[in-house]
Formats: sequence, C-alpha cells, structure tokens
Amino acid sequence: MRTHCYEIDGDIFSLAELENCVIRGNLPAPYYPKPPFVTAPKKSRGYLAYALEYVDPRLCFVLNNGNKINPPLISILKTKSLDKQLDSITSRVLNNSIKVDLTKNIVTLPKVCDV
Amino acid sequence: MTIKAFYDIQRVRNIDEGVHPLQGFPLLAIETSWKCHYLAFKTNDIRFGFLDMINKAIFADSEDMSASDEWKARMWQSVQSSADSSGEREKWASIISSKKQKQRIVLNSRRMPFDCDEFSFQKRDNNLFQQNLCSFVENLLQKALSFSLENLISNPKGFVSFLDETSRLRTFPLRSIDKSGKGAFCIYVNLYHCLLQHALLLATGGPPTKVRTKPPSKINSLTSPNIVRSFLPEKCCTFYENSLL
Repeated sequence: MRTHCYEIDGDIFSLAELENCVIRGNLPAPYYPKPPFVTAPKKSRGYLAYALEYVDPRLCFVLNNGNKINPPLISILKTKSLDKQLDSITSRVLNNSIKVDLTKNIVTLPKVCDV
Repeated sequence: MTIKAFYDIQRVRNIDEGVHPLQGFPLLAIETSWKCHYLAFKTNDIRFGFLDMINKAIFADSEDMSASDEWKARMWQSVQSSADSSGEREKWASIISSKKQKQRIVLNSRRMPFDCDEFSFQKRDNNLFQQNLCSFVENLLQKALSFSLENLISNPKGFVSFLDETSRLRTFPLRSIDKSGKGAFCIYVNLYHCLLQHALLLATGGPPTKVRTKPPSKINSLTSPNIVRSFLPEKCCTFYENSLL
C-alpha cells in the first residue's frame, strides 16, 4: 500500500497516499493512526491540490481495500445513482457487521461506529 | 543496461515524429509484456536498418508463440518480477514503512506519457469534461474487475492492454477536476478501486483467489465530530444494551 505507486497527472501517489491524503484529504486525521496510514509532511500543503472536497460520511463503507469486512463485490459508482448506491452499500456493510445477541442483550458494532 | 530475450519481445514499432520529446531523433519502441523500451537513433536510415534487423531476428522464422503455455508462464513471470523491481528507483521521494526508508515502485509505467493516447476532450464544457473522465474511469474499473484467473491465463494480451490503459493515467487531468461534486467522488473512488485491483493483479504469486486473499492493510480509525471514518475489521466495539439507553 505504501511503496506501490501510480503516476497520475505527473505526480506519484502510493495507494495509501491516494486513500489518506487525496480521497480523505479534507477529513480529520485519525485518533490512532496505524499502518498503512500516511500523512503529508507538515509543511507541505501540495496534496490539497488533489484532495477531494466532496465529503460524504458513507465513504468509509464504500472504500474497499480488500479486508474481510468489506463486501466481496466492488461497485462501480455512477454519478446519477450515487446516493442509491451509497445507501445500498452502507446498509449491506452494516447488515454484515452488526451482531445482535438477544440472549446476552449485547449489540456488537463495527469500529466505524466508535465515536 | 537492460537485457531482453528475443522471446520476450512482443512488438517493435516506430514512434511518430512530433509526439516525443527528443525532436530530431527518430524513435523506436520495443515492447515486452511489462514495459516498452525506447531507442533513439541518429537518422531514419539507421532506425530502419535496426528495425529490419531486429524483425528478421525475432519474427522471421518463429511461429506465433503467444498461445503456448511456456510463453504465458514467462510473460507472467516477467510482469510480476518487474513489479517487484520496477525502474525509476530513487527518482521519487522515499517512503517510511516499518521504520525503514523504502523506494517507491511505480506500477503504471509500461508506456511513456508521449506514447499514450491523449485525453482528447478539452475543458471547454466543464460538465462534459467531467462526464468523459467519469466514463473513462468507470470503463477502466470495469475492465479491472473483469479479470479472473481463468481469463488471465487464456488471454494474457487483454491484461497487457489494461496495463496500457493504466499508463494513460500518467496524463490523466486529475488537477483539473472540480473536486466539490459527486462526479469527483465517483472518479476518485472508482480510480482507487481500479488501482488497488491493478496492484493485486500484479502481486507476486499471481492474482488473488478467494482462498488466499489477504488483507493488504490494517485499517485505521479516522474520526470526525459526527462519524468515525474508517473501521478496524478484526476488532469491534461492543455496546451493552443498557449503556445504549
């Protein structure tokens, strides 16, 4: 994720940079950053030229980086039906990750819900 | 110095004058499955002489080997080993990974930017411009997702054309996109998934199967005032019913 890079528009991005500095570039930094999280150098604001300004909280359900919790299928997002697609993916992820134990009265939520 | 076996060369072609940066020097491209190599010549005559010689040496008495299993195996081996030791090292800033400085490996470098098809649509009509970029990325992702172990083995040339398409991203006008709209959101997310799939397909050991897919990363917990932006799949937080009330 960190060393495997792509050249786009004359600049080089690793997959981790693409995710954390570009797609999530205008979102707050994590409380507990763990690999492969990367941050841009403090003095550098250059990445903001690429950072996505459209912020949608459902992004975290849509981004699929191959982990087990992610849905097995990747959806091709289309502008016209974006909201429907985001709703559908979000509910699919939550349905798969939320567990309810009626006998113990316990609801187990994914880490994404840990606010 | 790069040494290529005749067996690995797929095609040798001229590069048109006027499209490459070495004006006045005729250029020739030697294509292998992973990378195109470019040779500059002093004159056109020397280039044609070399082209003639290399074509005779490679293609004159050899049958089409691209259907043979051995050729396919060599192709995959060269693609994957090149992904591990891609060129252009030390050209870009290094990355700290596991407390060590590591060099970047650029994976979409099969063709040089001047050898890729240009994005012909101009930014006169902003909506149309964005729509065209959207459709390009959608098609690219569709192609990336269409590969399976079976069709990669039966038709490896389709994968080589996919590598060419990703080389086009070197001139993809990412900076010119209006980043505040839904279109940009779709482009970015589709592009990310496409490149992730590309990286997985090039992973040593071949494309991932259901059995041996490993998570490429552990996920972080990114928080904002209203929502946590990502999630750690292995660990979950548990809320007791009473505490929710």
